[in-house]
This record gives sequence, C-alpha cells and structure tokens, in this order.
Amino acid sequence: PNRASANVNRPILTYSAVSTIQQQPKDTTVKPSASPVVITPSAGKPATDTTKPATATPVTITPNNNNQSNKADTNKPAAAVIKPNNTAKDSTKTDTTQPAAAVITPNNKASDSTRKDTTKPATAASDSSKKTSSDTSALILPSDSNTLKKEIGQFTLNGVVKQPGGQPIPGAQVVNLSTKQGVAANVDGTFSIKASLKDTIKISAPTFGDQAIPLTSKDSLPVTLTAASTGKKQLQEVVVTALGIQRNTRAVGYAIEDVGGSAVQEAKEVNFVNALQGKVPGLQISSNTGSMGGSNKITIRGTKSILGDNNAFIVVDGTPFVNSNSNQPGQLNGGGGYDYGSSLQDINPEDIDNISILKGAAATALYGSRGANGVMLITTKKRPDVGGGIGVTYSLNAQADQVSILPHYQNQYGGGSGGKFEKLYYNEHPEAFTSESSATYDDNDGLGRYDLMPIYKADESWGPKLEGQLVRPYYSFDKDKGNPYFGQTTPWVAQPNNVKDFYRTGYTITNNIAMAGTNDKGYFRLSYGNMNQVFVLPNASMNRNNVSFNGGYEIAKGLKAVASVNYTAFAAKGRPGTGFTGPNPTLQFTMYGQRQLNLDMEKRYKYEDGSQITWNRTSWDNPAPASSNGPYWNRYMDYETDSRNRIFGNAGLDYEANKWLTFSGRVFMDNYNSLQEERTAKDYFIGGYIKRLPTAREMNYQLTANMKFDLGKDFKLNGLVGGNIMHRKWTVTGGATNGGLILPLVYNLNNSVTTATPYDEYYEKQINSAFATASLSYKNFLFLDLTGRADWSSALMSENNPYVYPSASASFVFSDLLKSWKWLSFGKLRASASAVGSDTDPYQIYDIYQFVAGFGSNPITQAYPTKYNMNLKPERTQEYETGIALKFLDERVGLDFTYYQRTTKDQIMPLTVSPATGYTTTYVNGGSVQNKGIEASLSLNPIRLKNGFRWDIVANIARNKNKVLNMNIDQYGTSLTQLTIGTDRRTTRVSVVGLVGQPLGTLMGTDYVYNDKGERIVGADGNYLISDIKPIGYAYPDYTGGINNTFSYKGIYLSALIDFQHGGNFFSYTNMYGKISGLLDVTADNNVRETGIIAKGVKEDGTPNDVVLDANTYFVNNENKTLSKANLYDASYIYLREVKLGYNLPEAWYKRFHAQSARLSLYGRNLWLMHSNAPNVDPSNILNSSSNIVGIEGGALPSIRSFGVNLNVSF
Amino acid sequence: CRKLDSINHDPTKSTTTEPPYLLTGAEKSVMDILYSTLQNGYIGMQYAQFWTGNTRVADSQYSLDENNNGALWTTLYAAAHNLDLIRILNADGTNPAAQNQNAIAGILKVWIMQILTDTYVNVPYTQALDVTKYITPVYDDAKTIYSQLADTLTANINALDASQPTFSTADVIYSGDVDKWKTLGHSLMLRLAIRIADADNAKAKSLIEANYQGAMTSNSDNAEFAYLGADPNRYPMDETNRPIIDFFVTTTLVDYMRSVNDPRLGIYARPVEGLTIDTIYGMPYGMSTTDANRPSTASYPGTKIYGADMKGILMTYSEVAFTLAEAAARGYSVGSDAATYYEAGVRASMEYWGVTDGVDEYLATVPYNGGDWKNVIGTQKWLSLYPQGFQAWFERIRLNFAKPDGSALFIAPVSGSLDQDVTLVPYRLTYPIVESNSNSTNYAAAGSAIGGDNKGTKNWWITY
Repeated sequence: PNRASANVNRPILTYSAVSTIQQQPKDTTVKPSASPVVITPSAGKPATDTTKPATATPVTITPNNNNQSNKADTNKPAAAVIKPNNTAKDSTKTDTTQPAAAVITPNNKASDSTRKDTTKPATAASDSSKKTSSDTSALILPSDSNTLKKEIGQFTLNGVVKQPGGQPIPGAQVVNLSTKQGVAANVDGTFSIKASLKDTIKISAPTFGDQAIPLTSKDSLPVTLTAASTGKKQLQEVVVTALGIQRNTRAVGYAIEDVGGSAVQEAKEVNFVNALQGKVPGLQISSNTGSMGGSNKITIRGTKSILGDNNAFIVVDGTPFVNSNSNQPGQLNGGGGYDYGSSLQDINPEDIDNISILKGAAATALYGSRGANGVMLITTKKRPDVGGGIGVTYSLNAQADQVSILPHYQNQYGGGSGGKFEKLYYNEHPEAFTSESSATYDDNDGLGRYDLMPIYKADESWGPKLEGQLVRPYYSFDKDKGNPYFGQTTPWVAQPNNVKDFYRTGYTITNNIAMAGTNDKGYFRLSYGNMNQVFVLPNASMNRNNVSFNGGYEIAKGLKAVASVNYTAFAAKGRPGTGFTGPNPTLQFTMYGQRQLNLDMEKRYKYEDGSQITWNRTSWDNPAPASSNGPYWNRYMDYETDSRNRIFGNAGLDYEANKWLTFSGRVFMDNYNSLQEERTAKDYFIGGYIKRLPTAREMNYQLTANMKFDLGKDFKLNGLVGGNIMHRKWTVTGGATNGGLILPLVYNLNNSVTTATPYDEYYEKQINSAFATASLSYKNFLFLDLTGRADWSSALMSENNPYVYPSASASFVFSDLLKSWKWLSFGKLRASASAVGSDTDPYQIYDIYQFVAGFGSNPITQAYPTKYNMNLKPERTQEYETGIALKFLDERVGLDFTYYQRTTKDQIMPLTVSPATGYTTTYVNGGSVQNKGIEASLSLNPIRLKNGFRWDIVANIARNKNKVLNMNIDQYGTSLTQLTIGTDRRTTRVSVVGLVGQPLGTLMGTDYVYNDKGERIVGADGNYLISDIKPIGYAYPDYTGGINNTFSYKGIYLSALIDFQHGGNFFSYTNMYGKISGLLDVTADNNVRETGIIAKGVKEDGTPNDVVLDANTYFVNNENKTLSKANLYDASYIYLREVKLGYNLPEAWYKRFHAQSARLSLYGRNLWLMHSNAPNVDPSNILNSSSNIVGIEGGALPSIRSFGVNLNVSF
Repeated sequence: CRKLDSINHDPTKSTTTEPPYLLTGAEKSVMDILYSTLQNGYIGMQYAQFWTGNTRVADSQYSLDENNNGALWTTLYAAAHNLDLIRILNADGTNPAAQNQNAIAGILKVWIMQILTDTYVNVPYTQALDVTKYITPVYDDAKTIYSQLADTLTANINALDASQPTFSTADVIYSGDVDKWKTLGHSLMLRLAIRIADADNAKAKSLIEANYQGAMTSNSDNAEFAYLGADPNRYPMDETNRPIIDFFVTTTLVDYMRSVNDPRLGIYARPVEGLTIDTIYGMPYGMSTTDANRPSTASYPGTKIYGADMKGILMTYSEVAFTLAEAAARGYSVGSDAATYYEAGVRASMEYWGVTDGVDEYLATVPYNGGDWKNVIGTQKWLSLYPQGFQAWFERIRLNFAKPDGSALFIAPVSGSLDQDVTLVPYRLTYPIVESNSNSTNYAAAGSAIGGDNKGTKNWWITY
C-alpha cells in the first residue's frame, strides 16, 4: 500500500532502503539525506558478531552526520534535525549561531570514536558497566546476557516517526527497551532497529511526548508523537545553556528548563511570554490580559534585588534583547498613565524554535551581571519545518477575546449623594423646559411645576433608589447646542449591563508564512508574520509585522558565515489607561461613577460643535465636566498611540582551525525607535499632548575560542575562552504641552499655549568582559563544569572594576552505576555553587542639577532629588543549588527536584530617604536578601495504550521563601529596619517594603485594632478604631505551579493547563473605591441602604457593637483609605489557563493543496478562574508594571478570555 | 575607544549651576505648595475653617490625605535644600553678590523652617539637609528650633548689605532689594516671636521690641510672589482653565462677616450659582454629603481668590500690624498702642483687597477692645490672613479666640471628626508616612518626644 518514492513523508519507509543504509553506514551516496543514524555493532557488523562481541558492545546513537568523512552531508541531515539532539559537533557546523556548542557536549567526540567503535567494538567495552539510560544523545548501551538472548530471533523493525501533522521527526530517538539498543530517526523520520516480538520500543523526541510501543507483529511501525503540549521537554534531551552552548542534560549540574516553540505558537498570546505561565517550575510570569499588551513580570526564583530590576534577561539567538519598560513612574503604584508594556512582544512567536530557562546563578554566570535574575534563551527557527529542499509553512491563527471577569455592581441605586434628587422649577428656570407642562411634577405647594434632577456632578452612586421615577437626564439640557433631547425625561431605572456592554468582542488575526531550505553548503529561513488585534475596548487596536531571516553558508572549508536579521514594526492605538485616572475605563465604572447610566446615550459623547456631553456635568446649566469625561469621550478623544520599529539580529563567522580548536566571532545588535503619543482633547479642559521617542541601541561584539581535548579514554575536556564588549545607548526625547492646546484636535508640541516642556534624556553604558569555561567529563556519567567571568562596567568607578563571577557545577548520572535497578531508568544528582556580581544603571555616580521650566525670563534649576554616590561597588550574590532528576517505572514517572539558596548582599539601591535630607532618594550599597526555595516537576503517564491513546500529566510547583537578612548601610554606619519599595499612590498608607527578618514584599498599612480575643474594636461613633501602620500582608505567593493533562490519540490531542498560586496578598483599589462610591453590590445588598450597617466588632468595653451607621457612612468611614486592611485580599487562585484541541487534517484534504501536512488546533486561554478568595478582581490579572511594586491593585482592568483556532500547513 | 570612566558622565546634565536659578526655583516651589488646592485648599483653609469640602468632605472631617501631607513636607525641605546649595555654590569666593545672596537664602529658609515646625512640632533641623552625613536625620525639639531660627534670622538680617551686589529679577519677591529683605527679616521675626508669646513671653518680648522698628510699615512692603498668569507659572488656585469646585466657604466665615457687615465678604466668597437672587451662603463646616440637613449647594470662594492675578503671599503689612497690636496688648513696648495697630491692621487688609468704602463704619462695628484683645485681634487677624490657610490655622490654634462678643466662632465638623485624636481642630499634622518608612527610629522618637504623633498633640507654643 505504501508507494515508496522520493517523498520522504510517506508514513512507512521501504524495508530495502533502510536495510541498505544500515548495512552501509558510510555509503552516503545511496541516500545522502537519509544517511544512517545508527552505527551499532549489530547493524554495522555482520551477523556473526551477534554471538560474541555484542556482549560487550556499546551501542551509540549518533546523528547521521557524525561521519567526518562525510562533510558534504553535514548540512542536510542536521538541517532537518530541528532539535539539537544531533551532537554538538554538528550544530557547530550547521547552527553557527551557537558557536560554543561544539565544545562542551560530552559526546562531541562521538563522531570519531563511533567510527572506531564500529570496527573495534572492544574499545568501548569499558563502557559496558554503564547502565542503560534514556539519555539518548549520549546513549552507550551495554550488552548483557539479556541482550544476547534477545538477539536470537530478532528481525529488523522498520518505521517512521512523525508529528501529528505528518511531518517527520528527524532525529527522534528510538530505543528498544528490551535490548537497550537505540537508533535515531533519519531526516525523513524513518528508522530501523533490531527487535523481537514482545519487545517494547520507545520513541521520543524533543518537545514531544514519549511513546513506548510493545511489538505484536513484525509489521513496520508508524509512530506519531504528539507534542508535549506544555512544551516541557524530557530529561534526556539536549538543552541550550549559557551563550547558546548545547549540552546534554546529563552533563548539566544545575536546573534548566527547556520549552519548545509549540508552547507559544498554538494557543497564542500576542506577547509569547504570557503563554509560558504555569508551564515552567520556578518561572513566574505575571501579566494583565486586560491591558492590551501591557507589562509582564518575568521572575525566576523570586525577587533578589530589593529595589533593582528582578526581571529575567532575554537573549534571542545570542542577541541580548532590550526589554526595558518605558512606563512612567506614577504608573507603577496605582497612579495614572499608560502601560506600554514589554517590548518582548516584538518577537514573532512563529519564529521561536526553543526557549531555555536558566534559573540559577551557576547556569547564568557566563552572562555576568546581566544574568543575575535568570536568563530566558530564545532560539529561533532556522530550517524548514518539513524535510527536503525548500519548505514553506503557512499558519493562520484567529482568536476572539471577551471580557470575562468584571466587578459585581449594585443595580438598586443610582448616581448622586445622600439619596436625593434636586428639583428644577419651571418658575425659576423656564429656559430649561420646552414648556411649563413638560415639567413632570407639581407638589401643589405654590412653587409650581418642576423636574427631578439627579446630582450630575456627584461621581458616586449614593443617589436615589432606581424605581422608575421620571427624571431629567444629563443629556436633556444644552438647548443652545441644538440638542434634540432637550427637555426630555427618562425613567430612573437600573442598567445592569452598562459596563459589560461597553466592552466589545475583540479579534486577533495572525498570519505567518515561512520559507526555508537547506543544501550541502548552507541553510536559510525567511519568515513573514502579521498580527492584527482589535481589542475589547472601543477604538483600541494593535498590529505587528515581523520579517525575519536566518541563514548560514560554508564559504570555505571550515569557515562558515551566519546571519540573522529580524525586523519588527509594531503599532498600538488606544491602550487603556491604568490606575486611578480618567483614561482607565474602570475609573468611572468601578471606582467612581453613576450606576444608572444608559450606555447607548453615552455613545453620544459630543455635540456638533465638538463640545463634550458627559454624565458628570457640573450642573444643569453648565455642561462642563465636574471631574469625569464620559467613557466614549475618553476612548475617542483622549487616547494614546504608540509604535516601535526594531531591528535585531547578529552576524558572524565560525572558523574551524583544526580538530580541537574553533573560533567564533559575532556582532549582535538590537536597535529600536519608539514613538508614544498621549492626547487629551481641548474642550472644557485645556487639552494636552505628550510625545516621547524612546530609542535604544545595544551592540555586542563577541569573540570565542572553543577547544576540546581527549584526556585518555575516560576523560574529556572542553574549554571555551572569550571576550565581549557591550555598548548600549538609549535616549528619550519629546515633550509635553504646557497650559493646554491652542487649537483643538491638533496634536503637535508647537500647539502649546505656553512653550512645551521638552524631554531630553540620554544614557550610555559599556561593559567589557572576559570569560572562560571548562568542562570535564568522566566516562560520560560524571561531569564537572567551571566557569569564570570578569566584567568592567562603565557604571562603576574604575577602582570598583573588574568584578568576577566564578561558578562550579557537577553532575553525576548515578543510574549508570545502578544498572541492576531495573525500575530506575535514569537518575542524576547535580550540585552547583556560584558567586555573581552586579553593576547598576549609568549615571549614578555624579550629582546633577535638573532644569525646570523657567519663570518668565528667569531660568530655574534644582538639585536632582536623587543623591548619587561615588562609592558604589558591585552587588554580590552567592548561590548554592542541588537537585535530582529521576525517571522510573518504564519512564511512566519522572521527577525533577531542585533546592536552591541564594543570598544577595551589598545591593545597589536607590534608597528612599527622609525628605528632610533634601533628597527623596539616595544610592547606596546595602541590605542582604536571601531566597531559599524548591522547584519540583513531576511527569506521569498513567495510560498508554497500544492503539496509541495516552494520558500524560506534567505538574510543576515552586516555592520561594524570601527573607531580608539585614538592611545594613555600611557607608552610613547605619542599619535600617525597613526599606520601602513603593507606596500606593492614592491612600499612601499601603507600602511594599523590605522588613528585616521578614520577606521582601511585606505589605504595610493600617489595620483594625483588636482586643485580647482578637475581636475588632469599634469606637463609640460606630467606626472601627484604626491601628498605626504595621505589617498586614505579603505580596508574594507561597507557591505557584501548574498542572497539565494531555490526552492524545493518533492525530488528535487534548490538553488542559491549570495554573495556580497559593498565598500572597494585594491591596485593592477596585474594592475600596467601588465601596466608597456605592458602586459594588455589597453597598446595596441585604437592604443595607435601608437598614444601615453595624460594623462587626465589639466596643472598647467588650460588648458587641450596636451602633447603626447608614451604608454610605459605613463604607466611607470603615472600608476606606484610612483602614488599609479592609481592602486587603488573598491573592491565591486556581485558573484553567489553557485548553487545546489539536487535530491533524486528513491527508486527502491537504493533498488537494499539495501540502505535506496540515494541522488544526482549537484553543482557549484564560478560560476559568476556578477559585479565588478576592471579590471583584482577578488576582492573577492585577499587574501593571514590571517593577518591584507588587501587591497594589490600582484599578484592575477586566480579565480577558480568548478562544482561537490555529491552522498550520506545510508545503 | 573611550575610557570606561568617561562614559559614565551624563553629557546632557549639569553637575553645577548658578545661585539665581536655585533661588527662583525655591521661591516658586514653596509658593506653589502653600497655595495649592491640595495643601492650602484641603488642609490650611479648612483647618482655619474658611472653607469646607464640596463633594469631598473627609478632609474637612480631618481625614488627612497623606499625599498632600507628604508633598508639603518634601517640597518644603527640598526648597530649603536648594537654598542651602546657594551658600555652597557661593563658598568658592568668586561671587561678589555672595553675602547678600546667602542672607536672602537664609531668611527664606527661616520662613520655610518655621512653617515646618509650626505644622509638625519637632522636625529634623540640625541634621537635616546634610545627606552625605545623615540619611536618617534626628528630629530637633521645636523650642530649640525656634531659638535657632531666631538667631539665624538675626544673623542674616545683619549680613544684608545694601552696598553690595545682590540678586536681580531671579528674586521674584523683591528683585534682590536688600532693604526690603531686611524689612521682611524683621517682620518674620515678629511672626516668630508672637507665636511663642504664651510659651516664652520674655523671649517674645525681647525679640519684638528689638525688631518692630525695622518691620513693614505699609502694604508697599508686602512680600508677595507675583505669578505670571500663564502655565506653568500660574497662581496655583487660578481657575481660569478649570473651575475649582472642591470647596465652599463656611457658614463660620460667611455668617460672621455678614453679622459685622464686613465689606470683604463679596471678595472672599461669591454668590451661589444658579440662584435667582445673588446671595452668598456658607456651608456648615465638615457637613458630609450624607447629612440630611446639608444644603444642596453653597458659595464658592470669590473670583478674585481664584483669580489669575492673585499672588502668593509670604507676609503682608496687616499681619505685622495685628502682631504689634497684640504685642502692645501684652504690654510690650512697640511704639504705639494696641488700638492704633489694630486699626492699621484692619485698614491695611481693606486696602489690600481694594476696599475703600465702608471701612470706617466697619471699624465702628468691630472696635478694638483692650479687655477682650485676644478675641478682637484674633478675629480680625484671622480674617486678614484669608487665604493664607496655614498662617490662619496657626493663629487660630495659638490664640484660641472666639467672636468679640465671646461666643464661639469655630465649630467642630458637623458630621464629626474622622480622626480619633481630634474633635474641634487638629493642632498639627502627623508626620508623613515616608518618615515612618525611611527614618523610622527617629520618627518614633520624635513621636514620643512630642506626646504622640497624632493631630491632637499641641505644639509647644500652645499653652491652653
């Protein structure tokens, strides 16, 4: 049935082709692109060998291009091996963006030794003591008596490994668990291996779930591996480590997580990082779905720096990626502004091949200070998705976004104060009526007819009950503006959906097309992506265009050139404002506002003359806003736009000087120009315009030399030395109008009533570095790594340079020594110790004066409120880490556990000081913070059926315990007891602080006053007594994690990711203002407005409080700004974060389009907040900056739920 | 390739500056904060019971907005710091105007420090503004600060030398006029001295007697900061661009002024909007929006008070006159009797607001009464300090005066105080939260030294 042909994607390869290859491993002319992967004694040697030497013959699986004599081949197979399980040697040749790759990998000598092995099996006999391991890229399989027996009656099993879409999985590892022999699939996914009936064949590949298949027949074996949909890879694979060095996990002495590109491609997020939430232990991604591409916070192993940046360092193909947050300071702590978010969203998710998370200091020491918060290494795709020649892949993603979590509003009372209407009498103001008879009411008290008027200027909902009374709405005046609604009345009724209906359904459409190809000299990949988002808010949209090119070519023997260029054009319009300010749509819906407003009428937000119609008019005869614009005016008249153009990438040469020495030179660049414009319309307000142009350019020049040595047959040594010069320059220019706009609707800094204030900021920094690393391995089961780096930073005075970072790590694959423990497939212990340093931002040494707008002709300068410090020295971190990785019970269970302890001292801090010093902030070295924690991941495979059905569970959990050890400021000989990280903007009572002896992120604020029994004490006036400011909570969670369940059957899989956070608190503006303003349900439920409220507690004499307060008084006095604890909530949550259903379209369908594979996925993201202890707010969705100011919810935007469909077709 | 060290100099910022540029900034920043709606409107003018909240009444009920409190503290210290830097820049001996510039900066700093200690009682002083030595400055005893301020003020007055160069227009208040600064220095000494008259009568007496002759003698001596009427140099409560609807004038102010037919009433308050008959109505002080008896509206402060041409007042002659009236009433030797100074004070205030008609009649309605000098002078000084909220508040709590007929002028917030330590009026502001966060040890010590960091703690110069 299988017509074997040149089409390598046929599900089953012909027997003859495979056997030919197997028996002539070096004869690449037969089928070069499918040159053998396997060089095993049994295959490479005639059958005669099976009786004798096999007992001591190791089986080594090496990629098919290991054969050194086969230079011409090197590119082809490697090109198809997307995952780096070909040996590092190959990746050096073919994937030159990872220059160091060749050096470290323990089996990188395999290409030579393998050849020897094939002819001299005895040379490898010494390895026979090793236990079989699933560590396939270094698989050296022993032969034992079992093997011997098994080999009798063996046949050659042929098969092919494919992805669900039908694309082959080149390099997939195929192991006969019974014989412990293994092979790697060819570029077209085919393999053949010796097997007997009832043997179990295990197939695994990076980013895919393993499959173990018991053999029941000699028929060829088609295998479809489904993506391990969390993207979490298995232990035995090669991972990308610092500087892009590819290493086998068995050799890595520290925790590292690897995630495949599919984790961010199918269920898309505009910012790919958000799709990693819950998928990696110890990686905490905080974001805010309602913020339209707003900030995310990427922390690894908790916060170490008290006041510095704690976000992970991002590296794309070796290029340090500038991910600075350009938000304005007030925006961080509940003040106003826009969240411009993270520029990580410039990266096209479709271009991502692999993401490595380096967590500990030992893993990141080679990055110097920049890696101090952990590193996220992103490797982009460089080769075709399907094998052979030129491949084209098209993907289409369509997604719908809906607001999913809104506060619970009350719908019984309308806007106003004191439950009252005002009366507008015809006799006093006939001009306000169309006629006397149009006035609705007459009390027959001689005052005449009148209309009831809500109190428009009150931006709260303590008004009259909504009982259908006829009232004059805010839009029934302004006769002189030709208002068609003039004089009309409307019933005073509830509008329960007026907030919900304000948000529309958003759409995101992403198109991507990629073309890639390889030949024997090189490879390339060209990709174009286009993302268009129409956001849930009116007049909000975002789009992104990505073009990327990756290429490499062998210019001359041993000399290769590589280049990678990525261009991104990004633009956004109408982001929501954040915090307690007008542009935040929740301000007038949740924090202040009137509940009874009719949304349809609000859509009419201006008159023909351009003047605003707002519900918050000053009075009936004054349409000027008392304080608030209407929501649609905010969206259409006061809005921001921003855009960014960015080029990043690298270019360089690799030169293989001789067998043991390779040089690599690279230039890395990241360069962007942004434009941010914020508009306020001139109308009743004076209007304004702010324009900012942030730019950044970072260049890195890097030279490395890679060396490898064989020290006898048991020892191997790899080394790398290198140097790097980092130069970074960034600026912000622009300005802000003063005194308003001259002409309305013209947004130009020259349209400023008085001269616009310019912005002109400039920063420059350079770090020169030298680094070296050495890796020693012993018999491929014991590994020792040493690294060192020295940095000279321009941000520190020369006497404090250089500062060095040593690290040492060791890995011990003990399962190799425990071969008799059949239940244990793999076991590894690891440990590391490291010390890293950290510098600071530029210009923190010399004091400066700042320019302030002049007073007429008199210039003004003032001392900059931050005091700089000539004595700054690098901050220091020490980290110890140990961990164990285990796989057992036929790999049905996998466990990885890490413990770490990290202490950071001499932190460089902008210390908030008493303003009585004349400054608000002073830079000092000081403080010491310890982070201890565990990270654990567990993989389970409860069900795997012969028919291909399987159920996989991957769970991870991380706990970080943070403690401020001291707050010593040696320079001042002083020791502080606490250090304030940030204070909320509006009540200013709630601060995030570091408190000595307590965790960083302690929340301070006022509390109730309690008696001995723990009861709240209420004063004689019926209001709670309020304590001084003291610790009331912790901002950071106790533990976080995720559980992913995947069910797969043939071409279909279903996966569901639940992520969770336990512990942590946050202070909620949404709840506080929503209660003060009478908007939330609790302000009207249970008839509290009719019957009043008694504050729960006791009087000072211990008797129960019985003072009844009216509801307004109760909420204003007792759940208000002065009593912080009243609005402090538990931040725990359980979230159904992601559900995916993937389906491989039938061949008949995609063949019509001459496609080689087609795959359809349906998904949902942020589906269901399953559990939360906090009302009205999604605790996983309160972030609005990447700063350390956490635990302050400053007016959360509604959460957004997404449903999407993803189609991927390869030609 | 440049040396790494050179890269770390910001080529776009200056590490030095000129004294005039610092002076203008210091004068403006203090005026901006003292006449801001947030500090003057929500604190000073309300604690003086001139105004009460419109929709936001919690501040009138003494629930302090910590943002406004922190900004007051920070701005005053920052301005004092910039004034200190004038001396530091002048220390190189190259500036011929250094002596007068330093003295003027010194006088301004005394003005600022007195506001700080009057507002908060003990505050950092000797270790303040010296960040290279102290990041956690200790708080000094308020009485000691007063003594040092008096000495510093004397030294700076004496240092002024009209024959030497000085500031020019960078001094927005007096354009560097050395004689005017001397006059202001003596006048500030009177303010300083009269405030401690109850607590340290001898010192007050000697300071006043030594300085009254050099103090202001007419409104032409007034120390005022003239704004430019355009952003960002607009009077902070100029409502040209946006109506200020935050505050109503109180019944306390309106009803008393009406009862004595005060001709300034129409300047201090405007008629209620939307009423057919133009009438000024006060709002009962501290009456919350939920109070059933609350009028639906009341009068905003007068258009002149929110006008583009209002000036930031540092000190006017009427304050000097009322101070000397009180000094005379206390038996100090100040050249004239209390009644003369009292009348001069009333007339100076009328003149300041441009009132010419009905002044004599008014004086006949509120005549000086030596037997009741505290209430008579207190009431009129209070009215004359409008809209200097902070000074009016200090004088209110110092003199604790009533109406001239002896009946209470001030009321407690109608809807009650939201501060557990205050019923009638706060005697101070609590220390800003930034102090408890960043200077916690000294903050705690200061709190206990003054008898508790709450708004009910009285300053040392309050003796009742």
